[in-house]
Amino acid sequence: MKKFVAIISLVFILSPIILTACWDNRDIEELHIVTGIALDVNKTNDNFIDVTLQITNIQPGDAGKSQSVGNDDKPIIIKKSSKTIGDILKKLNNESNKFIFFHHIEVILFSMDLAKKGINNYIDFFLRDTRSRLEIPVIIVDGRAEDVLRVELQEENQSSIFLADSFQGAKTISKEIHVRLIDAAFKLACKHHCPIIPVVKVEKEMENDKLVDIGFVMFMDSKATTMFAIDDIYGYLFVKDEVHFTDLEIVASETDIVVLKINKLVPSPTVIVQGDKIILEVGINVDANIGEVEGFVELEPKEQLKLFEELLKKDVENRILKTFAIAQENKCDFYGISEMINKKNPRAWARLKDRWKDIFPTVEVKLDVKTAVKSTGQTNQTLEMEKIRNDDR
Amino acid sequence: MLFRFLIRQLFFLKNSHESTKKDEEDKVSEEKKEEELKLTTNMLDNINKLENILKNCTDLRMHQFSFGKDNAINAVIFYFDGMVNFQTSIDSILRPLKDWKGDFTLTQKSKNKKNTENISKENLLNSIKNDAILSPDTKDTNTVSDLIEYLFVGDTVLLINGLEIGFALGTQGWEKRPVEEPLSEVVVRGPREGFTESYKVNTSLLRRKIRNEKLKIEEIIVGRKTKTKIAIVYLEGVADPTVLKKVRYRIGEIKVDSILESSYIEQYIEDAPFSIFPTIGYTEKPDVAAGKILEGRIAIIVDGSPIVLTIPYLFIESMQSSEDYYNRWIYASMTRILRIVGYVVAVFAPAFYIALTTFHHELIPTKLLLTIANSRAGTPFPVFIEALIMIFAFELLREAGIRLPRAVGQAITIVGALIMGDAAVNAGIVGATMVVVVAGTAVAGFMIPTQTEAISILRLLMIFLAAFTGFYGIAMGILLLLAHLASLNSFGVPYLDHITSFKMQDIFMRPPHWAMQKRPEDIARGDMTRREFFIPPKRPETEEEKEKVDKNQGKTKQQLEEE
Repeated sequence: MKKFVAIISLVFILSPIILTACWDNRDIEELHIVTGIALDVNKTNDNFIDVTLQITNIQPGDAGKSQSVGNDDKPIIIKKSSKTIGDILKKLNNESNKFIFFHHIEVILFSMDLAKKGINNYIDFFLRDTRSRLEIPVIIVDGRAEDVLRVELQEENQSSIFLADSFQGAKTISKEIHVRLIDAAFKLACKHHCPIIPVVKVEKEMENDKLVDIGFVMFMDSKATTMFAIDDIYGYLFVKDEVHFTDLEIVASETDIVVLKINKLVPSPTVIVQGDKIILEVGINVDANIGEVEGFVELEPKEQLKLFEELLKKDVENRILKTFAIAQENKCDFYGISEMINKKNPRAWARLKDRWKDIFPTVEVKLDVKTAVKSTGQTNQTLEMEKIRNDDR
Repeated sequence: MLFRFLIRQLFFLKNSHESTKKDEEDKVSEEKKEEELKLTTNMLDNINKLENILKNCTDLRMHQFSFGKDNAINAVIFYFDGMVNFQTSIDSILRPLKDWKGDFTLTQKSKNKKNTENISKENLLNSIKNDAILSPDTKDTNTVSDLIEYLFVGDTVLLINGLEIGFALGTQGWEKRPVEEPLSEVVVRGPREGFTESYKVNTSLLRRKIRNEKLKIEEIIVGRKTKTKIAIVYLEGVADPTVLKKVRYRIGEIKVDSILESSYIEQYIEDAPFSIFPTIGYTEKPDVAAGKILEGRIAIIVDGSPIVLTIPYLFIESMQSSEDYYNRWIYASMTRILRIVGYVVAVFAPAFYIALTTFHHELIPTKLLLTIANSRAGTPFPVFIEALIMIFAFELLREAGIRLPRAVGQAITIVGALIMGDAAVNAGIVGATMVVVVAGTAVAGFMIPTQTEAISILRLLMIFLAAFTGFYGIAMGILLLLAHLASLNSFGVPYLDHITSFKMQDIFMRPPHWAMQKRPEDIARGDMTRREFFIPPKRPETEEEKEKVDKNQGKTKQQLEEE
């Protein structure tokens, strides 16, 4: 027994020394913490890619200052070109004074040019690499992707962290806006499922640079094709998943405009397969409040609510139909209807899958939207209405 | 291994042989001495014998006087200066003797008539004992050595000419600290009194808490030179007899010249002398000791120490505080959980920090990593060395603060806090996050006073493991720690008892008193019931209501409705 205990304790004591070692350790200050990576097509050589890394600039400064993330130091930008990402990272590591630490990448950026050439190979690198996190957002940049990393923003000195935060924030509206690496990889891997990935652009406003979400780009056969505007995304979100806390501006006439605050929108999409005829039925329950009213002065509050419900219903239907039309026009099934048929009726899918590109534009959409505008906000009349009422008296 | 065994056997044989030989010699010489030190009828002879032994003891006082009819009887009293209460001596010995006018003459005439002399001696003895001396604590003996022992405990010794018997009269009265609030166990709610250095006060404090004939206080004298009184206090019928037996045996086996503090006893009788964990509890508060005795534990009071030991001691007891039982139970449970969390933080926080910042950077959220990186920028030492410096500085400050007078101690704390908190960071010697981690750890460590020593050592161990092997080392450390804790026992009761066996009463939660019906298992034996019935908070308010409830007990709802 004693022998056994002795052997066990020896294993315990020796195993840390054998299995791991203090030579593995690396203090934080010996690291270049990469927060963003941008991939571009090389300007001179089409076969080459440019990889740009944004690295947090850690400087010993005043005790107070150095303790916050938002210090004044600009991030370090390093760039290298080669055929593969792996090769570039190796070269960058060799040239750097510190170890390039890849685990904390916050965002992966592809330029539109590269996206049009196809991004599957590069996504594959990030999937294989044990250092990358699968939940980080993938974003397409209209223009050079490296420009986004070089941009100087007022809000945050590291654009990668800014982007990651803003996409994280957009998740409160709908999970579908935040396209994670794992989602993009999964959708790109499906033959009939076209993913859409958000597009940003660097714009100059006054003297300052700004990052603007300009829309989403559709991917077909892992290559970027057509882009659609940011406003049209609602037609997609309303079918795909729950939507919370977003404002919809509805224009009834030139003078009558209402902004409705959506508290909760719950869609329940189903697919009906009748031979080659496919119907997408979507039941939608919307719960909204009045946010802002311009015009509608002749109406009583109760009448307003009824009218707004009607208007909201129409608006939701229109948005869905518009976006769906874009999808059908481009033969790009980013709604994932193919996936839904496959899950519900695999036999039918086996029959349809070869002709899916031709069938998708014929898919019918049936909408059953139930709207409820429940609250008028803190007041039930606009100041304009009050005025008219008082004049009448 | 065999070699070690042989050596041990040899030593044992040698020691046992030597000790038996020595014992025999001791016995013979003791017998001889005893004969020499017998009291005789000649008082002067007795005085000489006593003074001879207590030579150079300048605090020994002697007062010769005569009493009886015509002051015919000569007597002498001995006492140690500062150990007796003069008023008691005068009131219970000197004045009554002076007032006593008994007629007993032990003269030469009766020398030849042995019988009559014996009778008159006997009468004198009884008469003095019963009529003259008023002290309720009167002992008589015929040896000088006994008298000296009585002198040491504060008795006054009375020798009367013509008697071979000496009296020792309880007149103890020395300076002692009053019953005060103990500094180490301060409470907001609950009794403020604490044990003192006085043995009698301590036993009386317990006796006053538990007024029951079953509360037994056994006395043992330990220490060849100090002759320290030790009391084993327990509740008969509740305390585990096997544990009691072990306690008696182990204390009886202590062959040492001096016991100055209860921790001496602790170190002689504990189960795991090489462990960093205490297997014997201690308290300075009578209410805590009484609570533990009522749970079936055994308390050990040592004369001269305000710290009372409690046995057996389980790991979970270090997470319990007396106030848990006085505060409202929900809050008490919350604080107990907080203490457990505090323990984990105190032991593992610096190790976790080191493991994270040297091996597992990917596990830290990005923004936190950047904050840590910024705070560490420019610091010259690796995290591990930084942690050692900080912990070393903290232990230094703590040790310095404890030993210094309170006013200076505060100054040290302030200087320490400033140096540690601000100057070191500003000077770029250590990172700010490390200060936060070490400070948090230190605060958490103080939450569990009985485990402070263990925590300090464990923390260092974990830091070393984390610095060399990261989380793997910490995991190993936790495993070894658990294995060690599980191997410990306190007087036969497993150290992790009640935690591992999931007897959840009074472990992570402190249930309301009305819900704790039973005494803790494995600790108490015999009378396990604290209260007869579980009485929920919604209970009958009057006798009539109670009768109604009793009457309706067992009836179905339908029957009740019919009635």
